[in-house]
Amino acid sequence: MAEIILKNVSKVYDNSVTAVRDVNLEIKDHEFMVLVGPSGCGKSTTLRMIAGLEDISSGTISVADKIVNDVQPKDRNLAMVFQNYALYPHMTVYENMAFGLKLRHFPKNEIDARVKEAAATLGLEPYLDRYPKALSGGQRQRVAVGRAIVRKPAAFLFDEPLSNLDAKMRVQMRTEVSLLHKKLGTTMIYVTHDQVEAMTMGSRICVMKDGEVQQIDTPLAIYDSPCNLFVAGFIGMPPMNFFDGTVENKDGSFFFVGKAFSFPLIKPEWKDKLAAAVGRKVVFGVRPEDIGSPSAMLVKDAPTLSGSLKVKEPMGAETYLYLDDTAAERFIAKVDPHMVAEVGQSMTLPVNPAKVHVFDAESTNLIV
Amino acid sequence: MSNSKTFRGVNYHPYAPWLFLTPYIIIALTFFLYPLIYAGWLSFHQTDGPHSAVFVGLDNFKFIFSDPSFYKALKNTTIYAIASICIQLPLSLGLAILLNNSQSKLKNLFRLLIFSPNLVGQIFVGVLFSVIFTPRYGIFNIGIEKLIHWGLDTQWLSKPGLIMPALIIVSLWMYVGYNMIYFLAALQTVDKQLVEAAQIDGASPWQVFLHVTLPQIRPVAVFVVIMSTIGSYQLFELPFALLKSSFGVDQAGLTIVGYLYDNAFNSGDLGTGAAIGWILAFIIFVISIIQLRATNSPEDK
Ligand SMILES: Nc1ncnc2c1ncn2[C@@H]1O[C@H](COP(=O)(O)OP(=O)(O)OP(=O)(O)O)[C@@H](O)[C@H]1O
Ligand SMILES: [Mg+2]
Repeated sequence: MAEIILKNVSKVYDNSVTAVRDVNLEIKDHEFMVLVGPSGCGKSTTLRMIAGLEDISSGTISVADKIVNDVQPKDRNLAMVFQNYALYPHMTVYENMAFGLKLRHFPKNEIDARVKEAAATLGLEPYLDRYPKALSGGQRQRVAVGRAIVRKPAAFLFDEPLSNLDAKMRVQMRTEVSLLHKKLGTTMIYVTHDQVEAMTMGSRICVMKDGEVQQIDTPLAIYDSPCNLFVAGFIGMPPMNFFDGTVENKDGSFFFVGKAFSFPLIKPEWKDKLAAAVGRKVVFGVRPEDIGSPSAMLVKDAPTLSGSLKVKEPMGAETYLYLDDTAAERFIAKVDPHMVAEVGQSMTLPVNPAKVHVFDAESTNLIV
Repeated sequence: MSNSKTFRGVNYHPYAPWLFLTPYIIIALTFFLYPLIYAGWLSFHQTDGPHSAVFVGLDNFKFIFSDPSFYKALKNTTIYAIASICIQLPLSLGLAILLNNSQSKLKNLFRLLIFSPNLVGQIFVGVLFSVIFTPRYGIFNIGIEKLIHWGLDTQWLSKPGLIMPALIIVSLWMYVGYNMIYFLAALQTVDKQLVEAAQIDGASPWQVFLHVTLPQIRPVAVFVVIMSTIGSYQLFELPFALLKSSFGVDQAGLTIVGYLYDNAFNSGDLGTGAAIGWILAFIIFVISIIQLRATNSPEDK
């Protein structure tokens, strides 16, 4: 059990690529922290620095109040699960899991007890005598997880552990890892580029881009108030709709004025911030599920967005409508699957006015 | 087409594979199988040329197994083979690991330098070292004199007890780089993530080597051990050149192939020569099988 703290951590590779820039991150004991971001944003590098597999160019990393910059990976008491499992091919499932304990000179019966317990937790009992090559991807990943949990480390590090699995297996393992975290209560740091994994698993999420931390918060806080355009567009599927325009003040009421429509910005607590933004170029953001959705329909006197329907994607539980407004700005609405809509038709859909966002176009930061 | 077959979506005539194999089959039959069988036939005959063979049954084998020189040759060759495997191969592996971990820009140059001695061949190396080992004036003796103040007058090539060590030193110089190349190639295929997984699992560098690197390069290591054994048992030119076309004082430089050469060409007894050849093939075969068995990996069973 341990707190992991990164202070002003940067990483410059030999080829002078700055992979990670000035990262500050406090991972509390028992926390499930997810590092998420697009490919190449420095997630793996950050995780590998925590593990000790990569030198830290500047800054400090501490585990359980001890600075570990110069501590060997083997002495950091962390366990890591790799994307392509990294199981020892010449060892059986049992030996793979027992390896770390053997190296630490645990007594035989203790090793046996721990391996058996992990195998039971992960449903690996029938496979203990098999070699990794005789296992499916999901089973291999379980062994990799088992190898990590038998050691009872201070924290678990996961680097995209599910990305080699098929979609169904991924969903199942996602739940299993979450359950495991509940059961063990050990600190976990989990790297993924999949925002769904981030949302569903994390106690908190750290969104990264180009080696820099964008926002650290709980999944819902990030979803509801993304700190900038990048986070807003990255978290959420389908992504948030964006429209360029300006903020205007008409007789004390604020409006977003875009190319095709204007939209009232009604929340009283927004007033001060909006007043400061009047006349500035902004980006207006609405999530697809706040346009024409059952919940948006319930809002009294809701403002609307109009467009002509270009594509309709029924997903089963909901339907995605791809619409173009009169300025040919494409936006997506997530609507009830039974809503009547024909491609080519023009539609006017209610929007929940309390859920919209305005970003500064220049700094890309959230205004409201 | 009814008589065509398909491989990965390509249609072919059923005879096509045989057509492609024909050159190999012809070469193998002419230069491998025929000589082998002919030598087998020869080993039961007394002959001094192709047209005067007299069947002698097992006489050739009886002679060999009662000849002290054969046992001398067998002992010398076996000592040499054991030394190759126990001294040379660990050194090759060590050098390969050093080069593999090195960040130096001179890495490729070192690799070439260490590899190059065996390019010139055993005869040349033998001649070269017969000079290098010259007592008092040879650079080898001068070198060890400088290092440990001893051995300037050591007669490497004329003391029976020193001939084999000299031979081992020369072959070390000649082949250490050759085997290193195999190990280096194998090390480069070791999955880096396994090494990292082991480090995080708590393995020291030595434990990583023992539990991850070594098992990963095992197939190549087995190959190198077997090829070294075979090569060692075929040793001939190196001592022959080193000892100026002799087998050394007290036959201390006599190898099995040297013994074969001596019987077949110095004594002109081709039948006995062929018999020795077959015995050698059998020895190599048995040792290779034992080595393969001993190094069989568990996950392949
Ligand atoms: N060993 C290395 N040497 C030089 N540059 C590297 C090295 N490893 C990574 N980089 C660079 O550092 C940056 C961050 O890489 P990193 O692997 O941390 O990204 P990531 O967020 O894990 O991406 P992905 O989702 O694709 O795994 C990238 O630009 C990458 O090219
Ligand atoms: Mg990565």
